[in-house]
This record gives sequence, C-alpha cells and structure tokens, in this order.
Amino acid sequence: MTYKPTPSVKRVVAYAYRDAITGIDPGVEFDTGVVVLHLIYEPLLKYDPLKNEFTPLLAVSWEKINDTAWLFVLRDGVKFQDGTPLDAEAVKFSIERTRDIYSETGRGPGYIWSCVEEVIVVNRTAVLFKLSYPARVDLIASGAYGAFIYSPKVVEYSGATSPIDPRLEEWFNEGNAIGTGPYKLASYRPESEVRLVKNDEWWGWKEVNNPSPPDEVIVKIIETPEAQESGLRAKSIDIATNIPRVSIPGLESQGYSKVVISSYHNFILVFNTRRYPTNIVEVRKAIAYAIPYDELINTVLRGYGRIGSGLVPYGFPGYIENLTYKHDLSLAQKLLEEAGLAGRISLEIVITAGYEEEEKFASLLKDSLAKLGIELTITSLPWEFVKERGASVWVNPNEAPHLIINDWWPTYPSPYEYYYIFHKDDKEWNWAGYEDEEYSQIIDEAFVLEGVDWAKSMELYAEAAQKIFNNAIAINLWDMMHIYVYDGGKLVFREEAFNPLYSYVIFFQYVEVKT
Amino acid sequence: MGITLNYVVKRIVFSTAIVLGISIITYVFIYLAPGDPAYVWAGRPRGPLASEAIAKARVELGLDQPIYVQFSLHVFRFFSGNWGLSIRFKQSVFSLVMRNFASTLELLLVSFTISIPIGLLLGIYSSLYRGSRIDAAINSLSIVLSNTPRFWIGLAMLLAFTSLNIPTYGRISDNFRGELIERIGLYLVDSLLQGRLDIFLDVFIRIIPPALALSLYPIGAIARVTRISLSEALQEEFVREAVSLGLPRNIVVYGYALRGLIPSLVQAIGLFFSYSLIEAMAVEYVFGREGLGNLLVKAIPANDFPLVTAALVIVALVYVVTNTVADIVQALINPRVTM
Repeated sequence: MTYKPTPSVKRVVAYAYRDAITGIDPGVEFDTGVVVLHLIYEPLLKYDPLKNEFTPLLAVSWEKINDTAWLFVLRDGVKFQDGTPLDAEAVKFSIERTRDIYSETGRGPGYIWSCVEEVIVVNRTAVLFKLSYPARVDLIASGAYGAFIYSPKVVEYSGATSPIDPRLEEWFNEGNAIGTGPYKLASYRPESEVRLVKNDEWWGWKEVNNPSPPDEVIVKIIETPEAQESGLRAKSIDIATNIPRVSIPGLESQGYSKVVISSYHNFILVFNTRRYPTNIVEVRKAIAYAIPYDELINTVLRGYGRIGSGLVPYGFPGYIENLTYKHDLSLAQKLLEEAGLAGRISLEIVITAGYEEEEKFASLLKDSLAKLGIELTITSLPWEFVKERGASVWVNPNEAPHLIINDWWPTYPSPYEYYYIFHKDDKEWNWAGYEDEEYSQIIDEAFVLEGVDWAKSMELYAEAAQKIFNNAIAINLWDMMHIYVYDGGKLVFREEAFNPLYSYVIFFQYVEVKT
Repeated sequence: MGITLNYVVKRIVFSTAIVLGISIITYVFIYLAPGDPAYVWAGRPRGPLASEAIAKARVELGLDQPIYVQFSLHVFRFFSGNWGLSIRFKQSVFSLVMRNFASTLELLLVSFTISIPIGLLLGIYSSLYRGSRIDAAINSLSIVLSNTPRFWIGLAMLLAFTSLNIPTYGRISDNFRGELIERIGLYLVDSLLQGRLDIFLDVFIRIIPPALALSLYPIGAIARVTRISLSEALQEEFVREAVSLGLPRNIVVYGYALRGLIPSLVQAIGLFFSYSLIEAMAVEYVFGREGLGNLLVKAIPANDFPLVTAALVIVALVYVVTNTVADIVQALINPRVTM
C-alpha cells in the first residue's frame, strides 16, 4: 500500500466545457469534438481572420499554381503519435477520406473539400491539390473542422477494410486517436470528461518555447453555468466557459481572472417567411425596428457581445459594416399600420433552453413588442427540438414558429458558410423558408469566384447581404464574445492560446502553468 | 431455506416483464417526443447533402420502418445483448451505462452504509422512548430529514466543505485521474486493489459529503419504519412473555423483537435504495460527479433511445435485485417463509 501525502507535481489543467463531446473522428466530427481535436491533430495551416494571417503548421509553404492547382510543402521530421512519419501520403489519405465520407454519406465537414478532384503526391513532403473548380485551398486547409491530418495507419489499427469503412469511425469514437498535435488522448468519456496528456515528441515545443505548459488537460463536461461556477469555486475547474454573467464581477473581486475573446459564433433571428403574418415584409421590419439593441448589449449580454451587422460576424471575411436596424418603435408602429395589422398580432419565438442570452433577449423582445400590441409567446426547447421546429418551415410552415434563433459558426473561413443557410436548396438550415432564386445564384457565383477574384466575390456576398437585409429575412442579433473565467493565480494565457475561428478551442501549448 | 423453483421462475418472469415494460414505455415516449434521433446520429450535418445524411441515418436506425417493426427490432436487439451504439455519444451503450452506473452505485453504497445504522438507531431509540421528548425530537428530525431537498442540502454542503478547503467537487482529484487503474469502476475498491491509499483517501473524502446529502432521506425513512415496526413488535405476545419471564431488556429488544423485523426492514431498505437511485441524480449534479442521472439528462434531449432504455432498465433491475435480496433474507431468517 503506498501513500503520497502530496499529490504528484504534474501540471494538470481542468477546462470546463458546456456540452458533451459528440465524437472524435477527425474526418467526421462536426460539432463539439473540435475542442479536443485541435489539441490532438493539426491542419496544414492556421488562419487568423482578424489579422488576415496564416500560421504554418504541418505545411511550411504553399503556393497557388493556377486557378485549379495548389502546391503544399510539408514540414519535415514531424511524427504521428504512433511514431510513424508525417508524409504526403498521410495528407492525401486524410483529406480524401474526409471528402469521400461526405460525398458518400453527407456526414461530416468534408464538403469543404468538394473542390478537390485529387490530392496528388508529388514527393514525400509535397502534395498538389488538383481542383475541379477554383477555390481558396489555403483557407480550406485552415478550417476549424475537417482539415485535420491523421495517420493512414488507423485503417490497419481499426481493422477497417477501407478509409470510409464505418468501423474506422467506431474505432475513433471508442477513444483512439493518432495525430501530430501537442497532446495525446489518454481517456475519452464523451459524456463526462476527456483526458489529454502532453505529447513530448511534438515538433512545435521548441518554437512555442513555453517552459511550463500543462502536462495534462482535462476537458470536463459541465453543462450548466451554475455547476461551472460551483466547480470553479471548489477549485475543481481551472477554466470555465459558461459562468453566469451576473457572477463574473463577484468572481473577479475574489481573485479570479477573465479573458474575453471575440468569436464568429453569432445569433441570428430568423423570420418564418411562409407563415402569416411574418410572411409580410412590413411586419418583419416592424419587429426588427422594435428590438432594443442598446439594451440587448447592456442588459442581455452585459457588454460581452457586439451587435451584428449583415449576416457575417465582425472580423470574418465578408463582414459588412452598418448593415443594421435601429430601435425605432414609432417606425415599427407605422410599418404595422401600413400592413393594416396594428395591435392584433400573436407570434411565437423558439429559443434554445439553457442559453442565458437567448432567454433574456426573448423576454426583452416580448416587452418591446407588447408596446406595439404584439403578443409574443416564448417557447424554450432543447437544441435538437429547436432544429426540428426550424426545419419544419419546409414541411408545415404554419406549425413552424414565426421567429426562431439559430446560433451559427463557420466550418472554414468563407462567407458562404453564413449565406448558404438562406439558400433555396438548404432544406435543413434555411429556417426562414426563403426561396429566392436570384439570391441563391448570387451566393453560388460568389463562392466560385472566391478562388479567382476574391474582391469581386466579396462584392457579390455584400449584394446578397443587402437582399437579406432589405427583405428582413433574418437579423444577426449579436456576435458572441466568449468569456473564459479562470484561476489567474495558476494560469497565464498567451495571445496565441485563442483564435476566434476555432470556437471554444484553447491551444494549451500556449498556456503557462505557474508552479 | 425455502426458495422453490416456482419462486425463481416467478422472479425471472417478473424481471423480464419489467425490462420489457421499460423498453416499451421508453420507446413509445421517445417515438412521440419531438426531436429527430436521425439528425443526431447523422452528426448534425450541414452543407448541400445534409438532408441526404439525415435520410440515410433514418434508414440505419430503422426509423423508416413501421412502428411495430421498429419496436420489435429494438426489443430483439436489446434482449439479445446487442445494446448497440449511443446515438448521441457514438459509443457502446453497455460501456456508457456500466461506467456511470458504477459511479452511482458506489455513492449509494456509501450513503446506505451511513444511513442504515443511523436510521436503525434513531428508530429503536424513538420506539423505546415512545411518547417521550426523545421520541418527539427523533420523529421530527426524521420528518425533516426525509423532506429536505437533496439539491439544496447538497449545495449547502458543497459550499461549506469548499470554504474549509476540503475537496468535494468531482469524483477524484485531477492529479490522480490518470494514475487510477479502473478495474470494477468503484474507485474506493479500485484504489485499494491498486494499493494506493492516497487515492483511496481522496476518493473517500470526496464521496462523504454527497453520500451524507443522499443519506438524509433513507435515515429519516428507516428511522420512521423502524419506530413503527418495533413499537408494534414490542406489543406482541411473545415479547411480553419474554419480559414477564424476566429476560434482560436488551435481549428482548435486540434478540427477539428486532430480529423479527429484519425481513420487513430489509424490504423497506430495498425500496429506499431503489428510490435513492433517482435522488442520486440531483446530488451527482451538484457535486459534479458522473453517474446515471447525468447520463440520462444528456441522452434524453438527443432522443437517444438505446441509451435511455438501457439506463432505465438498469434502474429497474436494481429495484428487482433489491427486492429479491429482501425476499431471500426473509426466507433465510424465517424458516416458515417459503418462496
């Protein structure tokens, strides 16, 4: 029997995340698994839209050869966590698997690679992306999802017969991972916690030059803000992501620190354009003018957010300034009168349960609309039910809510990610039921132009944004700011620890643990 | 001991009926509930093929079949031991349920190790001093204990222990998480099997506050059942005869009156144990512990019917097992009882 009066001197950091992990197959996962995957795996590049700056990760250089060919040169000497070397074959395997799973099943983020006809192995450390249409491969290769490179050995280890054999996905989700990143997967319990240990063989430690990175990172699944606060106070959590906003000043006065990071996670109010009376433009505009935007920032978000402008969040490619409605109840009243509907409307808004900001916003909107004689019923549902109600606009528009909030974030840095959710063909996420041939054509054209004429492409996206705005199809209510409350006596975050493109990911190689 | 084949068959039939009943009810509720398990199984897809992915997932889950076919498939898979993968977590349902059940079971076992002796003691004293102030005080205390919200008392305990710098949040220190070798999932046992007293103490200190919070209800309930049963037993003819024969009070109370109560007490404790499984969910939540409650809370919104069914079946089986144990104890103690 052994007893160690003082626990080991390992630097262990516990990070509380708000949602269960939905999977860790690097080629399939399209949701919360990203907070773990970015520590185990790496893409070819990382991109910071705010600085418009690429950071080379597994690629050291890249070049657009022509509109449909890009060459990437890989970092030499990088090893996967099973000891096998990173090479061009691994890049080909990873990207083609991710792409093929999407094209075969529609699952995962592989559509970002749909432009890739073939990944050609030039030599051991160089790959050529042969495209079927022009695209910005540098941006795609920096994607938050679906851009990870992993060892082809996984097929053998899992007993799968091909890269897209479902047994390989099962193998990953049982808790197996072989990436090149700074942390290795030690244990995986998607419902409660994921434990990662430092990968001493990571190629980047010298470059990062961090004398005291965490030896272990434990991602703990703690869903409610109250529970995260309890865990933080009980010293069982070092970093919390979901603290009640009202508690933050109190925690700061008790010595906790906070870091606020802008994000590309935005909250979009979508109008049901197929149901009376939100099928009337004036009614939608009246609601848009009834939103008390200042109160939204000050009361609902307590300053931790930015009023949205256009559909794309601030700092993201294609962001448009000053495309916003202003709070004007008189104008709202006038619009309702023009529509002949003043004072006799009942509406329903659907929001996601457990999202403090959405709940407060809905109450604020209810109060404001009441001044116009509009009765607003708030329906708060779990996310899966929200999605079902939203998508029902195509099946049974009169049962779909008049208003619904969709929180959205990008897969990779392209404005198309935000505009596509109002494309006529998107029957899953176009909760407005908006079916505008011209709008869809504009954004499709803009998407293809991204790889040829970026500036022209952005002009077309701006045109599409104006259409959405003028018709009040949807309003980007706010761009979320992520608040991390943490034990400042224990941790120091370097600037590189966060990047708004990679939502909720903390790059722990850039976190210093005070000893 | 009088356990007959008839009893064994009855138990098996009863247990099967319960499992079948739970499966039916769970499936029907999830079938009727809003939400689409196919969307979750498809990995919340986006992009131009999102609808196709959901349609394929619907086929994979058998949701395109008529309801009776779906249900038959679900029951057949379940009874043949193929619990499949969780829709939300994409992991084996069996592993998910078992590891979380182990956590809940450990908490319950510690909680009942605390509550049984305290509850019995309070009940016995209350009965022996029936009508006195001690009786009134114990009676009031047991009512209060049985009715105190576990969530509230758990939160108060967490804050109190935290302010004393006693680690109570979570099941094990993060420093030990990577060092513990899990064999059966009960960390107190696993740490001892590993020969790590330091880990054992850490786990033990962390489990006491939630176990205390959870034990309040069974303490109060056991005390009240003991008081009533013992008071009645003390009025029995054989007890009065033993007193009249001049046997010492302790022998009369503990040797005769209380002994006769053991079967009914075991049965009652079995019921409280099953009920506490539900209570444990709130306590686990407050103390940041994994467990069946936490698992169910995450599985239900995702319409994860394989996982919800399995978790609820485990709860039902605990009920069946505790009742069976109570029956066996009754047969062991009382030779006149034949099952």
